[in-house]
Amino acid sequence: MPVLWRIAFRNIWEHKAKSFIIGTLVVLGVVVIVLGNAMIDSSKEGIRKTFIESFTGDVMIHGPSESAVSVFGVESMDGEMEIPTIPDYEKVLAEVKADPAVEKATSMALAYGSLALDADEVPQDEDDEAQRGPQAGFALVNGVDPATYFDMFPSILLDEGRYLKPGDKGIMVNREQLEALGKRYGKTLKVGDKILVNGFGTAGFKIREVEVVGLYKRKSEGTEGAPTVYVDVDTARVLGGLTLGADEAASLAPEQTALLSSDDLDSLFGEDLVEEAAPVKKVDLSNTAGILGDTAKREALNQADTGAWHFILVRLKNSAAAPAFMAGITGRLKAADIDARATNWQGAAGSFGKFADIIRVVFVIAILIIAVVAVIIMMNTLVVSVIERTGEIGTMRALGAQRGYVRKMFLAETLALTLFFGLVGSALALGLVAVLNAIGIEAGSDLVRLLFGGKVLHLVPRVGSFVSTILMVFAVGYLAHIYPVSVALKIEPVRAMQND
Amino acid sequence: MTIVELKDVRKVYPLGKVEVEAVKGVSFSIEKGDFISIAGPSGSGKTTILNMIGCVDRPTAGVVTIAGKQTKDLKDKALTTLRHDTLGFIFQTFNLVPVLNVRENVEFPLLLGKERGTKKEREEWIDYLIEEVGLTQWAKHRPNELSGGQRQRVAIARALVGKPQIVLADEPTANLDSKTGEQILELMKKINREMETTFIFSTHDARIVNIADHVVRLQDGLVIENLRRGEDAIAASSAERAEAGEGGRS
Repeated sequence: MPVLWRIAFRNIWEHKAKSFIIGTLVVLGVVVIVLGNAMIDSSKEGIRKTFIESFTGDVMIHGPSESAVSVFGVESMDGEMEIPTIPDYEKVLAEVKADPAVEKATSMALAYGSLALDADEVPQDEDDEAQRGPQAGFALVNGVDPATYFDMFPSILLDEGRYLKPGDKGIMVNREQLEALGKRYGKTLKVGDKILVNGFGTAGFKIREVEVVGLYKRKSEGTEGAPTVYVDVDTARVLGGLTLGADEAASLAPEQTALLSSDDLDSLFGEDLVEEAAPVKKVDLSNTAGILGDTAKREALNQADTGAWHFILVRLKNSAAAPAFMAGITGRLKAADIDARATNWQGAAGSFGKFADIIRVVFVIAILIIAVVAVIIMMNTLVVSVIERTGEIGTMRALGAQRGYVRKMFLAETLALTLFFGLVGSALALGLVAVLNAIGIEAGSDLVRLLFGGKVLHLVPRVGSFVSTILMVFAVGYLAHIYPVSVALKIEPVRAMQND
Repeated sequence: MTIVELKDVRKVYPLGKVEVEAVKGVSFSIEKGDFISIAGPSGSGKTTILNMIGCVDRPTAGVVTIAGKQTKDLKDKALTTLRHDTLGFIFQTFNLVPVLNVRENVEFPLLLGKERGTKKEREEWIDYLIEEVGLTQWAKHRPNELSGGQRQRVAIARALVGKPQIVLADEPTANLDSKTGEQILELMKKINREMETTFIFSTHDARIVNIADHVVRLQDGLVIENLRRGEDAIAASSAERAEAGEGGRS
């Protein structure tokens, strides 16, 4: 073994206090980084698997929007809620299905709503109110194509009843949603009962009564709390305002248009604005009833726009091919002059998809702060070591050691120290991972469940995580040794002759 | 053949706002194979002169020539190479590398420069030196397992391993008992005879002065005596010259 490394390893052993301080820092750092990274990786993998298998597929195609669009709607800071529909849907779907990388594809329309019953729900008193539970909760109303949707997301399991069928008018909720609704209204609800879905959004408030055709449950861990209901797509379209009347333009006469742009209040409320009609002497009620009874126009305007879809969700044969598929489909749609966009599962999952990345950023910042503190502590410890070894360094210089040799000697010592304790930390981290996995810590809340990537903490440390951690520890050691080495290099060989 | 030459060497140290002149204009030369003692009381400047000969310190003025090279204008790297290739050091406090054993300490200087000879030749040479200093049985021991005399023997072997032309020894017997000190001196004298290595001592040990074949006595930074055994004073001392009005220069 080269003498530099011999000196390095023996000094580590001889100066146990110094080595212990630095070693403890390195070991703790490695354990924290490896475990933290393993947890974030597990969380990310859990979230990725959950979303791909339950909500988003590998890639989501959506309509044009200034804001980010996820499978939960538009994520806008300025209150924009209208989810863009996919233009030239049929062409886009054909393009998607024609791609050989695609395994499955399905389409979806989204509305926001709440569940209710056509019954009184007035609690008798505060105790009754508390017992009944909260008002019907918010629901993400997923209007799906039953022929393809449940095939693409096999993690949505049937708990009771049946799946939605093509041509159905119905809803699938989960057992918790149905029980909460029944509790609120003091009724026992079951499959086959009818419930109300109150839709709200940019198109206003809409109510639809639908039959509960089945109860679903999820295979994927961590998704039980999602407030999702599945309805036939036309119901979702109506609730979400995707009706034929929604896009109907109103025709205004030029003077009406001019009036809209006027800011003269006198002219707005002037007498000449209102055209006085001749008084009606006799009211013909049968005629009025006839006018109000004719709902054909209203119904026509409220008819679902059968070509309107918000999302096409795509499952690829190989999830890793998502970037290539996205680039390809984006290029082909652009060439066909269709303004539809493609996003990966992370984009489609919205803020949930960014959760692991956000946690990682916070974690990295915390690690950097710890690293700076570690560098300072290690640096001080090494400076003390250099001062203690002034005579030794002076002697080496007197015997003919160049400055470069002294630099290499301290670098070897720091790297040996960090490598040795880095490996100790890695082994300890592996042991802790095994222990934590064996214990099987359960997530106590939805947030922790998201962090764990499932109901139970299961850490799978990556080799890359170990390598990057060791490299980082090396970097910390390297930074920490720079100043002490500069101190050591200032030691003149004449110090060897001084006996103090 | 002159191997060390000092010409009008001065050394001034700053001490706060005051400057202290440790060496006030010293000139003498040392021949190859000399066993020379630079003697004098504490504060006379002997260690300062030894440091300048050992290229671990530079003169403020004057010229120090070691093996034909003037040290004043040499950069740090060249000075280090000169030390490595030409000089061996024996320190008062031994200055062994504590984490290396006897053999490794002796070998250490050979690992600092360009490799000389084959590995086998180097190992035989190290074994020979360790045997010469009587430490074969202790070759695998660390310095903290050795007595003071044994440590100084290691230091002697280390000083000789690079086959230097000059060995500088700063008070080599100061931390040894009298018997061990004598043994060490005998060893160095033997090496001096057999290898023709020049030994330069800084000492106030009368025993070294007695066995030295060349003695330079210092007082207050000036040479007061420069004698070779069996010869008269080589030249008038710098102190005498200073008294004669020559500014202490020789």
